[in-house]
Amino acid sequence: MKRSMDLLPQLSFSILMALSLKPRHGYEIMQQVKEDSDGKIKLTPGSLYASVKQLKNDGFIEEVASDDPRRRYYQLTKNGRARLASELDYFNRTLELAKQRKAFEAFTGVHA
Amino acid sequence: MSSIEKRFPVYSRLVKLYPSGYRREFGEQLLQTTADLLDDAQSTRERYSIWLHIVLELPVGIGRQQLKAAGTVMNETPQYIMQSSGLSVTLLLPFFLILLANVCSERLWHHSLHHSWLWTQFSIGIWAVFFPLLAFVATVCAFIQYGVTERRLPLQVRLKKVSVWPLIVGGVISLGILSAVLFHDSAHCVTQNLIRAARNPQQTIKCIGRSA
Repeated sequence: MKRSMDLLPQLSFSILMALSLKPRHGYEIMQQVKEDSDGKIKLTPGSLYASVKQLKNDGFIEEVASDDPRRRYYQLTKNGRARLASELDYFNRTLELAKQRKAFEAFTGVHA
Repeated sequence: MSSIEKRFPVYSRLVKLYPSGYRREFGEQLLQTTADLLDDAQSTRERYSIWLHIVLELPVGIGRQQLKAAGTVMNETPQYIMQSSGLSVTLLLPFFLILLANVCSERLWHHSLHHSWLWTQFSIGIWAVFFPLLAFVATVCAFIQYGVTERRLPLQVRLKKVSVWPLIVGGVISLGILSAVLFHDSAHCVTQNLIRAARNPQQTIKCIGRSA
């Protein structure tokens, strides 16, 4: 796989993952990220919207019309989906490599 | 004031410290998401925990967004304005540093720098007159260039652009210094008779010392 870009920051990646299922508003994104990370990533509104702004500027997410006038909903763009696929591909390959090297047994004691 | 702002009067005021672009886009959403978080909290303790996280994150978030906004402005500012601003800062810096050094010297060692080489007629002429004058000229030149380059825009729009603010600030400060020097009590020692002042530097320094 040819990778010309740096990996996304953890928060940005988690937000893209949260939006991979359906469009969500800010609080829903926070809830999904918390659930996906088993509560390890707890976003504040400030850190959430800082990442949302960056992802919007990079063209990975966009606002989508909704019936709720108080909340803005965000969804992945075509670029966002491609970027998420690229990140997942990278992680998948890393995981395969770790399995080949029996890294799980060696470093964590867990059998993959 | 919207209903969500009424619910968080203090927090909504703090959110206003974010850069205007960020605030316009995400200000209301920050408040709404905070409201959703608090509404969903199971206990008072959890609510306190949410507020604690928000309060701790807020200054960092505001600072980071302000820096990003400043970086964007820097990128959008034309090269000649950056150069002129840099030159003005360099030229005006000695004035403030020397005044600061004088104040520190008076406070710490109880004697001013009025009898040092910094307060000779030549030195004062350099740091209090020549440098600010040069800074003012550089600022005016850049401002003229800006006016010519952006002549299609109305004057009000031109002055509202953030990129032109360093020029306005630089121009006002340098003009302020020049005015202060010109209207200072000691200015007459030099301006009344330039030739006499130049011929009798000792007398001029004494005159300045008496007036200072």
